[in-house]
Amino acid sequence: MNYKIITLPLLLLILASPLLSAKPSHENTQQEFLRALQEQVLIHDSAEALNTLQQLELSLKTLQASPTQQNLQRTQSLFTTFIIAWKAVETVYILGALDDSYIDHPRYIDYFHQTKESIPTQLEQALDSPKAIEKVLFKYSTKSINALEYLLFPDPQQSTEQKAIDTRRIEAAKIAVNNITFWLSEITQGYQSINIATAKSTAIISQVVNALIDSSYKLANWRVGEAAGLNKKYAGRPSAQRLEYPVSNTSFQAILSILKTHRKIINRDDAIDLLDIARMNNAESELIFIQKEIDQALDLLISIPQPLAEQIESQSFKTLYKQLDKIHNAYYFILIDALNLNATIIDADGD
Amino acid sequence: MPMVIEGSHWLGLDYLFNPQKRLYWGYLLSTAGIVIVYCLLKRQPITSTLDKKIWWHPSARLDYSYFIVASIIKMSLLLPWMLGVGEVTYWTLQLMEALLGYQQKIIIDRQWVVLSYTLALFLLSDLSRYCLHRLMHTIPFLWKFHQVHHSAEVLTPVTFYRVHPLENFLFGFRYALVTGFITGIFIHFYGANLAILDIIGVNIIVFVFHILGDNLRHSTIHLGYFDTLEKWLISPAQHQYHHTVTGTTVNYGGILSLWDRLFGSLRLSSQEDHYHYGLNEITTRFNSVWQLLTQPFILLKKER
Ligand SMILES: [Zn+2]
Ligand SMILES: [Zn+2]
Repeated sequence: MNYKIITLPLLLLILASPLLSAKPSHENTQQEFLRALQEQVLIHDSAEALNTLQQLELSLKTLQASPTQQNLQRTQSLFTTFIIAWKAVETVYILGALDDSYIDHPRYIDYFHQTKESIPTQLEQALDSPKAIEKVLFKYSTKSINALEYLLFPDPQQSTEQKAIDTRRIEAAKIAVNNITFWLSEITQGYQSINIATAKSTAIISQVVNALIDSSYKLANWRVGEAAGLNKKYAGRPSAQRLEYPVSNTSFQAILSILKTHRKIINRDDAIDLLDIARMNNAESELIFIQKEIDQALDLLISIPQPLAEQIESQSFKTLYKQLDKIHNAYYFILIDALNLNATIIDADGD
Repeated sequence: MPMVIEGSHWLGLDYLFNPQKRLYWGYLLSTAGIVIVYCLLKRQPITSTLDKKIWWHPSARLDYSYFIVASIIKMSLLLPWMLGVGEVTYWTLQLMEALLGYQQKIIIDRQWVVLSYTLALFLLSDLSRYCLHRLMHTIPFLWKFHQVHHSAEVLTPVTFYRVHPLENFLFGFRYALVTGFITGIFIHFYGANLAILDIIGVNIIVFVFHILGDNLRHSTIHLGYFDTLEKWLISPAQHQYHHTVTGTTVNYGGILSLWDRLFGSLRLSSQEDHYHYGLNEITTRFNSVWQLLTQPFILLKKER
């Protein structure tokens, strides 16, 4: 009799064990991940981009006051610094997913792959026009990063040195910088105002992963594949003009920054990172795989001689494309694994 | 996600402790509850459901030993060959990207994605199950294998596992194809914003039906629903009728009877009175585990 009294609750406990372990609370870890992401990545990186942009603005003023070759080079180098910072923001842009009113912000800043119209043609028309420059630069495409690149890096073959530091051109560049500053400060404020504690953490993490998937696709196909003539659309027709930054040779830094941003979200020493989240969802090994592939891509990229524009037909650039495409596909395997769909397969019902 | 004790597959314990399985203790418990209520309403002694003539019938005893052997075969021979859902999902994704181009992941409230994904999985899974089951009956080659399941002369919940490994393989294949295809389409559009609405790791809809007594499909409890409901959901009595000598051309459905109704194979339990289970012709040859496994091949050989 006594024996039964002891064994019954024990048996029930054993039977219930799958139920008890079924839903461990991941919420805290997820919240912690998001809080770290918000502070160390989202706010930090957008503030950093804004900061470099302000330096660029100051440099433009100096250039306007004293239009020397040295001041131009300083401005150009600050442009590159800004690109590195901006690509980090763009790579994991989730603000639009959190708040509808921010959906189009990156599109007001960055026109890569957004328009079929030629930004250089529009800019040349604007520069040649007799009207006030702020009147002719009304389109966002002509006030975007891509316009800024064209304005700050005049073709040395076609233009005289005077044209490079032409006042009207610098005025146009300042308008572009003002436009970018406006939207970027909104983004920074937007990230600061999110209250992670009240948000649905699972949904936000999904958006982070989606941003990385989108970014990995565009990195492989838009930024490398199309220039190398390796994707379907431009198969066999490589062109350096399809690089993201055809005139400033900043494409290398852009790709580097994007890869490093992926790497940083997946694994940071000092914070709860995506790897910790994947561990809770049975997808850790896939994410470790991606991390290794990203490291390999970084090594590949660094080994390619500069400038990239002269390397688009090289074997190493092709290898880079394949490596980036591999990373994109690997992200899908994380999702597939996290869904854990194979469990029922063998019990698949007969009738 | 539920913890499945590693290695418990081999001990057979997985069947009792894994909510993905029909014989999960929770479902058995809820089934017992339904049986008790059923007996009380029918003013039938509960002990009548424990009839030795059923549970210790040669056919039921064969089910038990076959269950063990078939489980080992499934785990050791079938599992390594089984098509994975992940592969199909990946192929679907590649196909979608090749046909439609890359899809920037759509931003939409997660709950709607999860809800429609869960529903799509359930509906297409159930429909494909209906189709394959019907083919198991109508294609002579497949029927030789499906006869193994229909050779049962008494029905107990374990009869669910009296299925030839080849049929298990086909149903597993179907599961991987359908689940992978739907998952691929959903990932293409929604990416990580995807999850199954589940209870302890089981599709919530499937869980509900398991709790509601799926186990009674193979049992002596003639639980029929009223006619209107039986036009939507297969009742245990309807599946039991499918197991009768004359009933093998109707009620192929798994959970929904909707498909039977749409494709003209529905029979309501109120239309039936006799329930004689088994096969018309050759029941005698399915009398041992060995025969259950080999008889389909012998039948095939004879036909040549
Ligand atoms: Zn059956
Ligand atoms: Zn059948």
